[in-house]
Amino acid sequence: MTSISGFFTPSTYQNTTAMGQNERLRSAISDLNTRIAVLQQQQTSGKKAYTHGGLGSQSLLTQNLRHKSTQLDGFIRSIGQIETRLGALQQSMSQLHESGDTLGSRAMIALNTDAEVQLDKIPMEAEGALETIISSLNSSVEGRYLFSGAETDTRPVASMDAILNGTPGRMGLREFTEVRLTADAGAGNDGRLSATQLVAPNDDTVRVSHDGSPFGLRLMDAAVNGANVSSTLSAPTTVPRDANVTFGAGIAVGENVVLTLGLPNGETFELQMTAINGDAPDLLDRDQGVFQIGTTPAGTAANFQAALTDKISELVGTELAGASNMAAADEFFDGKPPRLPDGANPATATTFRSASAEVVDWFGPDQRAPEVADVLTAAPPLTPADAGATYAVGDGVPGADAWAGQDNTIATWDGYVWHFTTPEENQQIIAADTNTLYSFDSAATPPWQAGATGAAPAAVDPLDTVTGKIDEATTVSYGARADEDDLRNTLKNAAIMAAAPFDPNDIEPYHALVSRAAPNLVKATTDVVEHQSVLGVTQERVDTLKARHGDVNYLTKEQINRIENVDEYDVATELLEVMNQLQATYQITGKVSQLSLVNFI
Amino acid sequence: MSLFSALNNAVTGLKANQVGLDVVSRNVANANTPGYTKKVAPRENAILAGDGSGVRVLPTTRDVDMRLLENLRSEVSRSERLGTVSDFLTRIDEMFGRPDQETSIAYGVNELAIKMGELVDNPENAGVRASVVAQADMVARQLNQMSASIQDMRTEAERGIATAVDDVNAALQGIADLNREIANREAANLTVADLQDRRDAHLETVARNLDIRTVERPDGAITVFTTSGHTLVSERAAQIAFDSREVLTAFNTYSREDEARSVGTLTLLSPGGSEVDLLKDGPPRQGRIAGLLELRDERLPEAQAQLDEIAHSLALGMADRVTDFQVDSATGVRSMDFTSMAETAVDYSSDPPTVQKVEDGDRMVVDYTLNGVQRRMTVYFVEDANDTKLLDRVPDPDNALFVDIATPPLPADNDGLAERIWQAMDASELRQVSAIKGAFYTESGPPPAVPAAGDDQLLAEGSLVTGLAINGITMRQATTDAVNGPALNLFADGNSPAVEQRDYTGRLSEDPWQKTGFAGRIGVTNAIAEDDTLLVRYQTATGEVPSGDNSRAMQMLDRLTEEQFTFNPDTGLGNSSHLFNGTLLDLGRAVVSYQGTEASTQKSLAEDQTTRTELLDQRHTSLTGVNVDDELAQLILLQSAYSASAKVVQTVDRLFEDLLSLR
Repeated sequence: MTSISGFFTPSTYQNTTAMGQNERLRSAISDLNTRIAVLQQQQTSGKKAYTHGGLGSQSLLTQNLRHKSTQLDGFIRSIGQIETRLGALQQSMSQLHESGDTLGSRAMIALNTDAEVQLDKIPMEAEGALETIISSLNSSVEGRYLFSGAETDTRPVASMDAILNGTPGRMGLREFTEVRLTADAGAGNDGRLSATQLVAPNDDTVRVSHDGSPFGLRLMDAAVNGANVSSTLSAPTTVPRDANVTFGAGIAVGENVVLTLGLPNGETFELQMTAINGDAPDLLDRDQGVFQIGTTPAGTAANFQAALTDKISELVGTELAGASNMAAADEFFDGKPPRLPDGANPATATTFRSASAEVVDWFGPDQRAPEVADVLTAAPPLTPADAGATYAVGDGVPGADAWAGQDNTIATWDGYVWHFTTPEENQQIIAADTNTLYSFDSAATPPWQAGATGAAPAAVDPLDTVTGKIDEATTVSYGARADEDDLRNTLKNAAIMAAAPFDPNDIEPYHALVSRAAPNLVKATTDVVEHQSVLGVTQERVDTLKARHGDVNYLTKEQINRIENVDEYDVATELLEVMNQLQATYQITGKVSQLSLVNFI
Repeated sequence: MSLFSALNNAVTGLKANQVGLDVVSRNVANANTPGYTKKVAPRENAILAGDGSGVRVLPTTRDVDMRLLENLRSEVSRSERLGTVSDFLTRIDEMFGRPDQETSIAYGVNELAIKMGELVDNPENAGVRASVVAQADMVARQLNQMSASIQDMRTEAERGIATAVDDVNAALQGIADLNREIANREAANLTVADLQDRRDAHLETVARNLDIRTVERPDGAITVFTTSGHTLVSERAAQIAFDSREVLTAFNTYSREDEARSVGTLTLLSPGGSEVDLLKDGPPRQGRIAGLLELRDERLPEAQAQLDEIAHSLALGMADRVTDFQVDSATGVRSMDFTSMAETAVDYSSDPPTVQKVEDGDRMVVDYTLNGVQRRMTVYFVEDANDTKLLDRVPDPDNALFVDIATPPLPADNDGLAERIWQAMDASELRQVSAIKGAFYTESGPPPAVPAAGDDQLLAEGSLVTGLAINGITMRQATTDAVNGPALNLFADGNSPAVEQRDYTGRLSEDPWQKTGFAGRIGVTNAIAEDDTLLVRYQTATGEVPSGDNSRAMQMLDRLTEEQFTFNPDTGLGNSSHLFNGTLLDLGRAVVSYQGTEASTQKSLAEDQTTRTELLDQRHTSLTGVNVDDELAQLILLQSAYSASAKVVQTVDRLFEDLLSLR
């Protein structure tokens, strides 16, 4: 400021006056004082400016940097939180894996009769493992359940007691298993599969017949090996399903009949009945049976009928029991909703009914309604290619054979016959063809079609149920749900081993169960490890990003400091200089004030 | 020649020196009085009938460089204007707080984004939700406060002008009165120096407020003009009237049309009775009044427009429900059926996407590349497409197309909307629109088919126009329902429980325009303030999303930090040929730094000007003020001259005694 007065060389001032002199001094002193005030402020605050304007053109830059920095702080905080949650997820899954795997491998060992682990210990161990698995799946961080997907405030898995023993008004897995076993065994404890010798003149024929229900030992195929035995199988759509096995006169040893039986859990079981004469060879497998060749075809048929009936009865106590327990577990854990045999007596039920209100709902959060291929309004397809194909049957759909009288149900193709389920009120299904959500409303006509409620919700990958933003335009998904396949299967197989009845006097049914559940459990725990490694990759990714954010943030803050902060030494030096100048000005002012003619006359 | 004449001469000497002493004493006494100029009592050899007869004292005069004074006055005018402007702008800058304490509105919005990020991670956490609502409220209040401060400053400017006008009127009257007296005294050969000092003081008062020029007439009177040539004082003084308004709000604006003007204007009432509106015909360019006018009508409204733009973008950014035109993957044809599902519940994930009833202010944005240049055309749905005020209300009128939805009224299911859009494109005279309109057609078929009235489906096929590629077409409609869809109307118009809250949907056709002063009224939507779960909870067509769903928060976060908006050039950010594009955060930062830079630029201009004025003032006082040493030297001179004259009288007395004693 003072330098500007350099425009006016002293000679320009031809004159000076008291006022002029005074003004000049005053403005010089006030300039210096202002400068001192500014410097003092900079010195005390350490900042160059106290308004955005004071930073001039750099104000935009420092705002950008500060925003960047707070944004990075936000990302780092987010990542920290995500890491905590991922860590907790990993820990829970490790725990779940650990106990599932231990149970699975011990159960596998126990299957060998001479193993050190006895089968009778498995139910207890399964309960222990189940407890751990459930508590792992129910673990929460910061009040959020980790395995509930987006519904973080809903406990994902019901308590062990509720799952096994049920709650008032709702059945648990134990009772559910029992009901299913009753249905599968059938009224005659024959797996609903009967063998009867036809009356003469057709007494050379044994009719093997299943009642066409989804329960028991379903007759899927009847093949023969031999020239003197033949079989005919009724069409898949007929009820009941029959196979007529006819024996010829010259039947030889070794000729056999192979019955393909569908077990309740979807397995098929090939029962081979081989003709013998005299002593039976040592048979190693349950799936092989023998019958004596009679003197006449009718005698052979009678022997076959008796042998088959025995074999069926044996199977009901072993393979069927185990498979039925597995099927109950599948229905209990996978069914949306779980289904019970329809009717007062499960032993004679021939269809299912949806029973969400009667069975414990093991999974808390909402699940997407199951998909059906279509809501049928016209003639039904008779034999779709894929097992498991499902249709909702509309009202008045012309039906014959299996379809007769099955309006307003859900039809499922099990690979060989159609099964029907009576829906419950407000049961939801999604028609895949039109992507429409239907809700069953028995009061409306027609109950299915009238219940169309619009577009179906999109299927969401469980991983995507929880997302976080970790960088500009970068998000990370890290959700998990207890109903994901690997987690659910671990839970399911451990639960069924705990829930299935164990009779120390007859370990066969339990053995049949464990022989199915244990390998499944081991397979499921392997899937859990794979699931963990997917999350591990995410962990690694966010960790790297966090480190990078940290570095960038540090540099950004440095840059902010460079722009906003003053160099204290510079300021101090300048302050000293200006203060000296002011002091000198004061001194001169004092001296000049003495220089007046007044003092000399 | 006689002793008498010697005595007489000596006595005139005594008198003259007495007058001299009088002047010196006055000069010394006023040595530090501002505006006082050094007076001199000139004298001349008195000649009577050809003979010298002592000394004659002439009327006291002053020695002033009139040109310098005129210069000084115009510098003062400049200084005042810059000082006033810089003073107000500094206050705006200070409103944003200290840079290191992160208190500005830009940081407020940023903080909202940070809180929103926290909500993305913890949608179920009530504390985080509450903090987001609190921060949104804080941003709204900050905008309210700043908007109020700016309007207060405008009111202050308006009152300042009124006060300044009163000062000017008083001074003009004073000048006219003094003019008369000076002319009279000059004619009577009396001293006018002190009256001139007074008149200069009045002139300075006028110059502080207005820029003026002066002309001195031979009779000693001064004529005062404004620099634009209007006479303020000649024989008599003119008066300036200012019809000031009590309180200004954002709706009070200056207009050259008297009926549309809602702030005061300056009217010059000349003594002859004629009236001139100074703001229309030669407004003041310097002086305090010019500064206040500049603030009231340009700078402060611009700051208000910037705040309004922030408020507008915040509200619309959160609330916009975006529906993309569907692309046929095989043919690349984009299409939208405007009737489908209109008026039903919002369903974001549905396929195909649906639009709601099109309302005033809804937009259809077409992004395209024509001959390698990326452009964006916006179709605005308005009540009267021919209304010229709309051109000022949209950011980019050169690429804007207005479609009438009021005459005839658009049915609730948007029936016939596609045809209306096509017709509007076809009728448009805008070069940019004409260039691409060939790519659009309706379900009646591609050209040469002509759309039929009632067509609902709009199709766009870039390949129909050479060099054109359409990159995307979206419908943007502000939601007014906090329950449906991920878009959320977080902000609404109305911030006090006393007034009913209105939706803010960017309506364009209203008068007054809802965006005007919106920053002063923006508030968090009541429903959301009352129930903060709405920040994350919403209905889709298939029911409510789960409690831990963060897609609503995620969308708001993206809109805050990543979505690019185009901002209206009336904010002073960007201009019509280079529009300012950026995120909401960019806008906030740009506003803060724009105001800061303006303030510091004006401040440094004002400082430079002050220095210039001070130097000139020092020069003036140095030339015309009192040098006490000079005066004392003069005193010595007068003292000795007085003594000498007294000695002469004494000598003559003695000579008379000698003569009388000769008897």
